[in-house]
Amino acid sequence: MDPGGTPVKRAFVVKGFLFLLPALFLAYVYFYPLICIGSLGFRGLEAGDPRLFRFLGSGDLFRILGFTFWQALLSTFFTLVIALPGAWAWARCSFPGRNLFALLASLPFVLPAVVVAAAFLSLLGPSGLFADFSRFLWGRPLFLEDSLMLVILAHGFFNYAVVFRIVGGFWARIPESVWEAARVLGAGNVKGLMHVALPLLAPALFSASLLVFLFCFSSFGVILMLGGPAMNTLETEIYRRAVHLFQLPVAALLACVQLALNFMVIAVQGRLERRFRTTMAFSGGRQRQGGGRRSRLAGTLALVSGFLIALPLLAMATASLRVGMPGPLARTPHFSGRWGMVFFWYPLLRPWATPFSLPWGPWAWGWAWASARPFFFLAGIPVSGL
Amino acid sequence: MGFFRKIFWLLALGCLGVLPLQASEGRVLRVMAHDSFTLDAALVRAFEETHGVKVRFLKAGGTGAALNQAILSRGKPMADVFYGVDNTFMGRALAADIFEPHASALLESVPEALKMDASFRLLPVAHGDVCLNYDKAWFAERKLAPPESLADLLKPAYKNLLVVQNPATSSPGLGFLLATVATFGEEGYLDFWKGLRANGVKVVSSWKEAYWGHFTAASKGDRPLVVSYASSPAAEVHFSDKKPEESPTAAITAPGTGFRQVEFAGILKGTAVPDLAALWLDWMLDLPVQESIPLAMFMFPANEKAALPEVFTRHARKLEGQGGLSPERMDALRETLMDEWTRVVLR
Repeated sequence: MDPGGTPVKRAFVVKGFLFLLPALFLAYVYFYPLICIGSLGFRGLEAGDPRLFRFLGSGDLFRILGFTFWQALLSTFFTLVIALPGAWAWARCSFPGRNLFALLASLPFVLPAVVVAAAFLSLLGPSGLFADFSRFLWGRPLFLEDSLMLVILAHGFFNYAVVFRIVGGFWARIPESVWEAARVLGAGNVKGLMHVALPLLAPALFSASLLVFLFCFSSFGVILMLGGPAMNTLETEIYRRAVHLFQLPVAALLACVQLALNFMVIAVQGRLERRFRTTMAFSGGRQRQGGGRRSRLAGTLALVSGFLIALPLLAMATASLRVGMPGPLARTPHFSGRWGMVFFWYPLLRPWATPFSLPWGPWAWGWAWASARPFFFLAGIPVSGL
Repeated sequence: MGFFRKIFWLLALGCLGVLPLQASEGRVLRVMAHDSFTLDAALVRAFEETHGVKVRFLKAGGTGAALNQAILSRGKPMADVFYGVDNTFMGRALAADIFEPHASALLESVPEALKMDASFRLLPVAHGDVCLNYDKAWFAERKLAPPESLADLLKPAYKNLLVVQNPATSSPGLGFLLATVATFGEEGYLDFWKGLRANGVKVVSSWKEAYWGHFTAASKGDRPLVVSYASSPAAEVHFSDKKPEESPTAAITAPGTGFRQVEFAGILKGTAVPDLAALWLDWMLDLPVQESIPLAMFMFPANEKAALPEVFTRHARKLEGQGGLSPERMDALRETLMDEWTRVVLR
């Protein structure tokens, strides 16, 4: 076909027009409120808003920042620990139910944060399955409430798929011959892991970790619902300042800090992504081993991981049945109260963010997802509170 | 391209299809309120038929959050009427100047003490007393007397028994904090809260979580003392299937243990239907609605002439004693109080 011909030109025009739509949409509903809100914070600084200065003088900013980093770091580490065995099993071995396991492992990530939090409360919360179980066994209910532990568990569950997909996907492409060569040269399992697998996987590991870190750093629903009133991260502080204390300049300034930090993490992630692509020189194809001890080990790992992933979901399913029962259980505030509020807008934003940024790669997706929330929120889109 | 074009036209047609739906509606009155707002549906229907209007409700979060939404949409209001500014947030609402004055004739039947806004921008509709509730059976079983004053809460006998709401996120929580300020003074209330923390007070975000999540009389929780309303015992009787003679819970109403919360309604500035909005406010202050408020929202009606249902006269209480902080003082103190409270109790 003639490259300068009319069909091609027309295609370009139509394509340009198609790109204009999301661009205008973003400019109006995202960048316009973003600039308005950013200027609100700086105007507050300029005008000497006393509430803003009281906040800056109190040292709260550094306390909140510190805690936000800390919980994100712990959550990332925890996610890596729980997700890597599953990623290995899926990537390197074949066992019955392998595809089912991959499906189950990816499930948590597409769940809204509210559902994840609800699931964890119905498993480990004060009136959860585990509390009932331990009361039955030891006469004393054991449960977690308003704790960092609960938040980290939920973050690990939520982000399992990120590590699983990125690292597992990369791992599956490394040819088996690399390991065979290592074994021939005398490397055992541990040595092989330390000197061959880890260096090869490093870009994928970093990339996945940063993404998980970003998600945990900007986690909102999970912290709000599982962390209790005393837990404050940047994101929940923005929400509290804006909705409950109505200190918009403080909230706006915090949102700018959040945005700057998100940009930093995304910039690093984007860089790694590029490096990751250049290392991806391996051929791909099936590199899995079946049969024998290895297959059994992988099957067991997948079974345990799959069970742990399914557990909170199963607990929520049973809890939803128990709500209909008579007695005090029927009145447990499962989907009322502070959850009702998050339901209102949280699921609304995830499906928005996803289709718009798919063509821009995962970093853009993460960016929209992570940074849109406080701004949309400040723009007054969610009209519900606690 | 054919595929994308089809999608584009489908979307465009879809957008067009929505327009006539919106245009075909008649007169509409939009009522913005906090989440706990409820009215008798039959009464609302009667109002709609009398005035040939459709009433739409917009629930906008807790007391503080709903008001903040209204302030943010100042000038281009999301509704015509707002219900649910209380006396703790009254100062913020009046300063933001989002309400039109309406000196309703029905205010004659409202006691002077409730008419806190002399400019008639905020009209008192209902009031309720924030106070401690306790689980009668729990205390009887342990032969323990319930606390009689706020200071009693610091005694070792009441260790780990109380659940309260975070004043930053819950209006009864804020009311209780203001009660402690009124009782112990602006210098002494923080010491009281330090003592309360040492005595194992539990803080949650919302009333629902406290009452239905932790209060022994209403959940599987382990806290027999909760911050709620003096009318909550009546709600326990009203909503129970067996309609017991006596409520399973009781309110502590001794002087200096609680806070009277007054809820106001007002016409939002910039409304297109100020006449309808005024009719709505008069209707809210008139006897049919006022008499339905106790069982709908478990608050006392502002209109003195409204008769109370039996379950209320028998089981609901009012705080004894008067006093507390003035709305101006509350407004001046609110943010400092919340900041200080957060520092002392949550960190």
